[in-house]
Amino acid sequence: MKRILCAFLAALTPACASAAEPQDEFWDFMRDEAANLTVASPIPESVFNSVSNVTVIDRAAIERYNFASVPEALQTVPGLTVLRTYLMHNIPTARGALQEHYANKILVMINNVAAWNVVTGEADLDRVPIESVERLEVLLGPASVLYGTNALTGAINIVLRESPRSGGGLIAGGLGSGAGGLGGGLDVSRAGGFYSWRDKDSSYTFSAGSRREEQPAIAFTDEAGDRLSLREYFGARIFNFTGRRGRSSVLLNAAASDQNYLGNALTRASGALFNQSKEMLLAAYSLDLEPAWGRLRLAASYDWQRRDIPRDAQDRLRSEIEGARLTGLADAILLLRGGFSLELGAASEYRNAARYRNYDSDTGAILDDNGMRGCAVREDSVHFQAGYDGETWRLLAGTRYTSDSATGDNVSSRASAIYKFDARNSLKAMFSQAFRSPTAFERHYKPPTLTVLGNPALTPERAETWELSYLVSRGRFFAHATVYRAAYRDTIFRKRGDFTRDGILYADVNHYANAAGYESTGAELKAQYAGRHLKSFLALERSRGGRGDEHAISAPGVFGLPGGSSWNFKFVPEYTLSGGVSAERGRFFAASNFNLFGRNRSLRAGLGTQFWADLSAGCAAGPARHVLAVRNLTGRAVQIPEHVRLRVVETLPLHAGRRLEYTFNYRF
Amino acid sequence: MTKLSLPLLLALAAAQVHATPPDTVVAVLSRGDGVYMEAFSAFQAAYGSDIPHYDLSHGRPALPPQARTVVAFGGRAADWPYPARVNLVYAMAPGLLLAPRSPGRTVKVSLLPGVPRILSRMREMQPALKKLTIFWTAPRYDALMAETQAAAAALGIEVSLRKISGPEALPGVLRGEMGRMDAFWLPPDPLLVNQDNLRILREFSWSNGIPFYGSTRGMTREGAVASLGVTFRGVGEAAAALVRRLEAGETPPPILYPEAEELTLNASAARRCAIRFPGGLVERAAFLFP
Repeated sequence: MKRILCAFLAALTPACASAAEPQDEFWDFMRDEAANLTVASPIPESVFNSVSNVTVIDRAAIERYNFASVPEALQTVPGLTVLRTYLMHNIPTARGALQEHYANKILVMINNVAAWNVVTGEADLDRVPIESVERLEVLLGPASVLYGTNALTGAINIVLRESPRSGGGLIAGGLGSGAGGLGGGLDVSRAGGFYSWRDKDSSYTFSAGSRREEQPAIAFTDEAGDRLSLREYFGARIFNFTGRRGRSSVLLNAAASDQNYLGNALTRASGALFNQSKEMLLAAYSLDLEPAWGRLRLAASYDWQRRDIPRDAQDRLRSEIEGARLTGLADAILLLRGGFSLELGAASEYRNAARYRNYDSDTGAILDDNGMRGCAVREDSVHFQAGYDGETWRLLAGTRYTSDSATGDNVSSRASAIYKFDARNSLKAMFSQAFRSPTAFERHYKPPTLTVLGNPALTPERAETWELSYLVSRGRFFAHATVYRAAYRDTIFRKRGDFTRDGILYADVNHYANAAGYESTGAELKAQYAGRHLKSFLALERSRGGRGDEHAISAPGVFGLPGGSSWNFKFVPEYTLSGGVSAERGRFFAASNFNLFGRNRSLRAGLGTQFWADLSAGCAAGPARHVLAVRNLTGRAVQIPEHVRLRVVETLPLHAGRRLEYTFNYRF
Repeated sequence: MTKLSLPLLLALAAAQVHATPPDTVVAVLSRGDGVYMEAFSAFQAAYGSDIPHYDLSHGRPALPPQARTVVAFGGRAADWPYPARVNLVYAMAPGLLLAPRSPGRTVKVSLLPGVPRILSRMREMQPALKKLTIFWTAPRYDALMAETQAAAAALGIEVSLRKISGPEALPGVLRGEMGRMDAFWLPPDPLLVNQDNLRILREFSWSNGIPFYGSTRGMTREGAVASLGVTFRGVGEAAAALVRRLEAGETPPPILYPEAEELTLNASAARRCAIRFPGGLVERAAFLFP
């Protein structure tokens, strides 16, 4: 009776409660034992059973390797590289299938809600600060049955973080070396945090953050021969809200970002060095019902984006690009007897590419609408999937039919079979297809200078992949190996030549066209070791592609340089290798991770291997954590081929010099 | 005075004999603190002498040549490649079931006080219990599950076993079990027992009035109606008794379920699930969370 009384009193008084019930020790114990039973791996065991090729980077890995941003974390996924074009930073690229100017071949989602610019199609990896990320889920390979358009070569889902307890949260901040490199002063590189509140029926999390990354300035010679001091910078300000009450969920993401721009023609005359800004708003609501027969999800989302870019040497002429998507969907999963399930869904999306107009930034006068005023499209789709989940086999097959008011119909399918040797050892065979509808920009753009013309006759580009994956964990080791063969059809790219639009013949002009496509084969390997104090990973990708999309770049070009031959895989490194190691002892920890791109080529020259590495060390003092990091440890500029314009500039900088950053966070 | 002194001197002498480290028994801990140390301390106290122990988080254990029995606390310590000649008594390794070794014996001290007793307690709290679902994930729970089915059949309880393939599968499995169970039980499965899953289970239990039975005090605190488990101290004491039996030449079963049980109750959870604790049960409970 005394013990009961003590427990009762303990529950009433927090101090006594903690003495009576060392709850933290209980969770430590469960975590320790889970680590012994699994692989002590940050990868949850769902990857063994997932019917797709999924890689997960969880919160523990983000903190362990001190990733500074979502793109930096994603760079360590085998088969995924984060590149740039001269128009955009942080463009995810899967299995060597290069993006054009815009990152519109990989779907990016926040809490499973797709977010992309309806005018040009690009997603944005910087809409969530790394401090607010709970988990990054990367699906490599075509995924239109699940997600519809834009999941052509893969999908990335950014899962937002919540505190496990009511009233909990985090405050984070950082100081980083700026454009002056280590010799310059320190600027605030990040600030933010989140706060969660919950009771038995509802939970809410607010997060806000800002990030600013400035790389040391480097010299850059533009197409006009002008030598520029190029200052690579990126900054974002973000607000997130997630709420759940009963069976309803709400997501709100608002973000604004700034980044340096290299012009639409890599010259100061076309706006290089001036600021490019973005504003984005995503609002989503979902109702998850749980009838006796399974699950029913009704959801709606609104995604608005605006981009503003410079277009001349005085920053007077600018372009404003704005559009929105409104999506509604219903998805039902029927749980049948014997491990069978059936999923049926329908979605409808209204896309309004409101404008891509040039304006005078001094007067606000509209100068041209580039043939793009109110380009609206409606897309409807239905999909179904049938699955079986048994003790040793998991099977799934499905298809999606899409009707696009502008580009017609598409049918994409998938089929997967998993053989589970045991809970930590599985073999997967997968076939998947996907499509990407051409964007309003690719179909309608028509600027007065005819830099590139949209093509209303474009058809969706398509992809299909055959994959075989083996996942195994033994003791503290985990390995995931994949081989695949991929085919890309009707690839949308920029082509130079005679082009007829609206009955007018344009001679030797840049325009969008569907290419014949190409094929590739590749292998990916990820290996992890998770000891108590030491953890490490290695991610290797090697891919080879055909030359089905090869086309000639005429010579001499407008700059008198020799021409050449261009195809997608010409600009893809022979291999990519990433790795990391982290160690902790008591309150102290240290980590290092690296990335290596094997040799590749630009249009006219060979490009050697590119290597960069980060090093960080820190200590935890109670709820506070302090980390000092050196980014791009060697200080060497990291170059990648310029693969879009193919005129004069052979390479673009991915990273400039060395940077130093101190960060801290405080949990409450 | 003389009458009192003699037994006292004899007792002191006996204690002195026991205090000599019997190097034939050594302990290995996955980690030399927290609950592992709590269980080891209880083991040492119950065994009656100082036992050399090794903290696996600080390095490899160097067993003395004369070691005959290793007592391992924690899964990592249990899974260590000990020489086949030594007896291995392992505890606090939920979800782990080691293969028999020879010539040494391998015996597990369970974190549960025996399935028949657990089911009897559930029936005591919920006399109408007919259908019980058990959720589990760890690969080596098959033996426990088979034993549970046999014990449940004797009580007229129909048991369904639902293996949860991954964290994301839990809500779907719970929905699938709606209407098919009167209650559900969660064994101390480290792959399943985490704060998020317990929250899901609690919300499901409380909102649907389906009693959730746990297996540790921690689960009761997180919202289970009741848990019947063994304290870490009880585990240590049971391990000590087991070592004594091995030293006496006995052949214990491969899994030992400690006699000392810890019953914990949660009044809020019981109210949500329309469970009324019998008076005697409350008296026997080690903790009653309001």
